[in-house]
Amino acid sequence: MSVTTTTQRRQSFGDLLSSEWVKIRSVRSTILTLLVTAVLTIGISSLGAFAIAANWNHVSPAQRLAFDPTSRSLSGVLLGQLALGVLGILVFTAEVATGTISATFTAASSRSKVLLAKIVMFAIVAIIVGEIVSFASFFAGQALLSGTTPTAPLGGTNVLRAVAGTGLYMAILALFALGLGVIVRHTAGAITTFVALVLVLPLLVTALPTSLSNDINKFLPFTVGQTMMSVHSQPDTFSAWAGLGLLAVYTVLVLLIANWRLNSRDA
Amino acid sequence: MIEAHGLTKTYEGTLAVDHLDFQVVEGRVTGFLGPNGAGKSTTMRMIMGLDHPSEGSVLINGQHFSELKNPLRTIGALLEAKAYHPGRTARNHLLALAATNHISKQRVDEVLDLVGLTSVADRRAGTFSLGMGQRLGIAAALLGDAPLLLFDEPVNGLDPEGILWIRHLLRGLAAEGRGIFVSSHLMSEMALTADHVVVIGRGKLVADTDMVNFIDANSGKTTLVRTPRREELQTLLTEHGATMTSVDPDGLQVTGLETAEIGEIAFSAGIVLHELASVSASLEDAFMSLMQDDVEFQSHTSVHLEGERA
Repeated sequence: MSVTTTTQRRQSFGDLLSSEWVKIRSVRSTILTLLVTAVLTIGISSLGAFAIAANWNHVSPAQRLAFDPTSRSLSGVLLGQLALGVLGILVFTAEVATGTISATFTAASSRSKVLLAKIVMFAIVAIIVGEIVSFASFFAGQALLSGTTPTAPLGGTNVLRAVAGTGLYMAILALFALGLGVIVRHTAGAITTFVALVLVLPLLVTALPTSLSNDINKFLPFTVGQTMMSVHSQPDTFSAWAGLGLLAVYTVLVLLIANWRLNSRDA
Repeated sequence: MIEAHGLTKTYEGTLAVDHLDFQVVEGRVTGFLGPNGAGKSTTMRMIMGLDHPSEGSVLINGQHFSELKNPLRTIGALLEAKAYHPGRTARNHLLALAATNHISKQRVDEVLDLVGLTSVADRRAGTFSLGMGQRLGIAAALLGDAPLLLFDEPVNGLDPEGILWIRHLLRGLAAEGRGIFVSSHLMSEMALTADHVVVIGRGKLVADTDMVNFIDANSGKTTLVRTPRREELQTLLTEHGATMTSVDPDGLQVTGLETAEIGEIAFSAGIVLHELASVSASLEDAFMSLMQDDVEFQSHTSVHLEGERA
């Protein structure tokens, strides 16, 4: 082994991507978190569907009329989105907590490119997982509902949009969480912030006077998700796609702040 | 080559690294000495682009770290003892790093072999002992076969066998023409490993010299003299350029003159000596005396030597 000074090609974005792929597939927490996401989403969705099917005789005519089998079969997303978000947070905070981040940054000349590689790699994983659990929940739910309550065929009005859109919503929200992880740096802190924004904030807003809460509510990620899951258009909200666009804007902003923090701060 | 120019780091108004100028050149081991908290790690982190200098700069072959085409192939570093995910295997940790600089799987096997971790390569790194973890960090530094290598306190927590191994490794890497920059707070270890030393105390450069010169300049030149006519001798020796401190009523600790010269001066003046002994200060002592201005190091300094040292 001797010192060579052969000219080498510059580190490419593809190199960083493949590194992130090795990282994401080589720790148990990835598989574990993905399993939790799947079990929570599909399991709770199925429970929700089973519960209403079992009680259908006691459901009032008004409620029967408003019943949305699609949205009902996706109810587990409420918790599943948190699990996928935690994985997004861990993409960065696990490196900080273990000290891997210094090895990562001394192997790459651009922190922004490392972040982008993490975003791209995790986006691929999150979209695939989000869509799988969303469709699995839908089909499981419809199977449990069929014979008792009305069911939704995938070809029905807005049904495919709701199911596919929900998977996408989970993925974008998880990327938002990834950005929070970079900004907060600590796993626990980032998870707390994430849960507060997704679940606690909507509860606080309901405590406000209705006129005010209606105005604020439609801007919340939670509302965006609820609208996406529903085949009916909801009052006082943005349309499903406009809402998702809004969430995407939040996510881009958070990731831009994350990138700025990453570069301005000592690692 | 690594070049620091006025390299400075301030944390909330406190100077951690204070206008450092030094170079690390290829083909030799440059020791980076200083007590704990002197700013060694911060300096190394600034070289590797992890911390941003508050002032000044540090360049690697004329470029900032962020401008390097292939960082791992240009400069390898062991900075933190445990910079790996405990749930990831040693091999996967290295594979992930290798991928960033398009380094082959064969090279990963090579470095695993080089540091002696082949047999545990597929074990989760969290199960590793401190020494094994240190070897994994060294493997990561060696991945890119880089001509420049940084090691921050590589012998920390190692057993004597491990320390010997690292010493040979660093000497071998320098012999291959690489530039090695290795920090330590243990003077004795550096004396055996380094060709050149950069010494810092409280962020400031204290010495930047060949190891041989450093040893000559900083050890073995203290003489203990006892005489009933202490004050007389003191005046005489001062005229000859010596500096000294009183140890007890009739004792003097003299530096700046050879023991024989002191004896001759005393003899020609007719001063009776009760004791004349050359005290060969160890390198550790030399290092201590060099660091005597350092507050963090003053807890139990017994002998204060006055005057200037290189």
